[in-house]
Amino acid sequence: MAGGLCKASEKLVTTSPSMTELVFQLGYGNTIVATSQMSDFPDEAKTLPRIGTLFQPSLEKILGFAPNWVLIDGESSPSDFESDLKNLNINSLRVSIRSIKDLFDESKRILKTIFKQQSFEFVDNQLNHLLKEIGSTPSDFSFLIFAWSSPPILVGHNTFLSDLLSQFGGRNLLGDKIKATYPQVADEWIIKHPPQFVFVIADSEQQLNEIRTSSNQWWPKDKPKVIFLPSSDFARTSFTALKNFNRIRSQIP
Amino acid sequence: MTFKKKYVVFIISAALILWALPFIGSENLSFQAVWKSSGQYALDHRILWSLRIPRLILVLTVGASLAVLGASYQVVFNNVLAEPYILGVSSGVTLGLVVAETFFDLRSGTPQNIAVGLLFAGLVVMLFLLSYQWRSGRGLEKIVLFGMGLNFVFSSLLFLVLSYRSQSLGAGSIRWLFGHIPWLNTSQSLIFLLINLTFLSGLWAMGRLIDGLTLGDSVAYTFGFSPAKIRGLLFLLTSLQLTLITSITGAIGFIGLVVPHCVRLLFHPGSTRLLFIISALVGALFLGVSDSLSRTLLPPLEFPIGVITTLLGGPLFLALLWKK
Repeated sequence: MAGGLCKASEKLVTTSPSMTELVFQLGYGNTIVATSQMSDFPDEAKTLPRIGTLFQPSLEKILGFAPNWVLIDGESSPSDFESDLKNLNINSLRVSIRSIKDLFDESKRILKTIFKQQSFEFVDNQLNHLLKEIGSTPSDFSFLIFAWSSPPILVGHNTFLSDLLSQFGGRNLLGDKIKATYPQVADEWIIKHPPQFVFVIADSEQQLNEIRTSSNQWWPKDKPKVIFLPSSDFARTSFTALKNFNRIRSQIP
Repeated sequence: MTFKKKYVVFIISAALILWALPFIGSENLSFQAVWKSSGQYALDHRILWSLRIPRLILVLTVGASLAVLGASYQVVFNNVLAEPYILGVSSGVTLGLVVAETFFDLRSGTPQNIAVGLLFAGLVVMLFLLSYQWRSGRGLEKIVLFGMGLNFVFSSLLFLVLSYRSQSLGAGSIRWLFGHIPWLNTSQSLIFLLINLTFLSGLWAMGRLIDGLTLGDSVAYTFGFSPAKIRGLLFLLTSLQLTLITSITGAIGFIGLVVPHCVRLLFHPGSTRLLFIISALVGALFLGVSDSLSRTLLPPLEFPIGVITTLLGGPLFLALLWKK
């Protein structure tokens, strides 16, 4: 955490849970005047007014809050959202985080563009900490990340979570040829590509058990190790996933 | 081309397609994997016999059933636009499942629980429609319109629920909107086939009565049967079968609407029973090819089957209409 709240006069609207949490982590949570549904992290965000869903934020609602800036999550907000805001003379910054590098770069861009900050102590500290962690990573391992079991919907190579695991020596068997972030894949491909580790991003242990059952069906002999990634800890592209990853690291060789 | 030649070409093509389908998918399988199950063929053998063959049984059954259901609906409602999904039965089922997943965490239960939930949703819709027909005694067009209205309401409610819980459940819910072929084992697929064959036999048995309906209600009375009762029975039978199919595969559009029309345009079947047989064959092959395409277009991706049936069948149907 950035440690406490920074003073800023900005009135900011965020359009996704990831952006909300990231702004809090950067120390400017007190500038957020409204956010999207499901932005429940950290706890302070739960009481913030809402501007609509992740994929359909309401322009009317946003106008009502008269923000100086709207922080747009490029991974979920409508493509024409930025130009709509521009037509309404509202400043906006579109941020896309699909890798660890993106997280650090975009965090600095947010601090610089919206909050006019020139030093990035918190971000640099997080980066140094991560580099230290990666330095002690022993070996490489293959993995698949499941977002759903039937139909099998995987987490693609080009995502924050996949990149996070890659930083620690992991290799997403889906490969970089598949550009989709959450592709549905054929069962027969899964059978032919058994990973060493299966990561399951889910809301509950029950969903995890569904993947375990499917996993036994896909790979009755070469059983991969199944690791649970709770959505509350890993679904957002913020520093939380980095912090929580340390908890599950011991389960990886 | 004469009719006899047309049938011969159709049967030979169908046989060739059926032979090829098990070998088409996102993974290339060795032909020896059919009988060799050890060493380098072990994985291919497993994919073929534990995945593709049961899947093919399921897909062919669903394709044949949807096509026959579509043909039945078109006759029963005397409406060329009638198709299995038009009356809201399947959207009721889909809504039931998504609501159960979203608000009651039914997904965490066994597949049987889900099937029961879906069956219940379908039955509610079906009974609603039947009571409407029996109580009001209104014309067929009104019933179709009423069903379409129900369909719109359920579909909108479905999108409302999905918008409400758009993130995690959205991905999984796509299977109910655009169809998905689940992984059943061979016994499960055969049981599914058997149940559907029972329903289809019921429709077959009513073939003559349906022929009577096509001549008009007044003629049907002279044959000594009540058109309203026959329609009620047909609707009950087809809706139960549709509920069963939707609960397993979600909504796979287009087949029920277009296949019977294509069959009429190409083969001019002289009776309902012949229409059912050819529609079943064409529907089965059409869904079989669509399913293979969904896995081979961009492997290892698998596209929702309903999207492929529409993209493949739409232009074919338009071309056929244009030509005729």
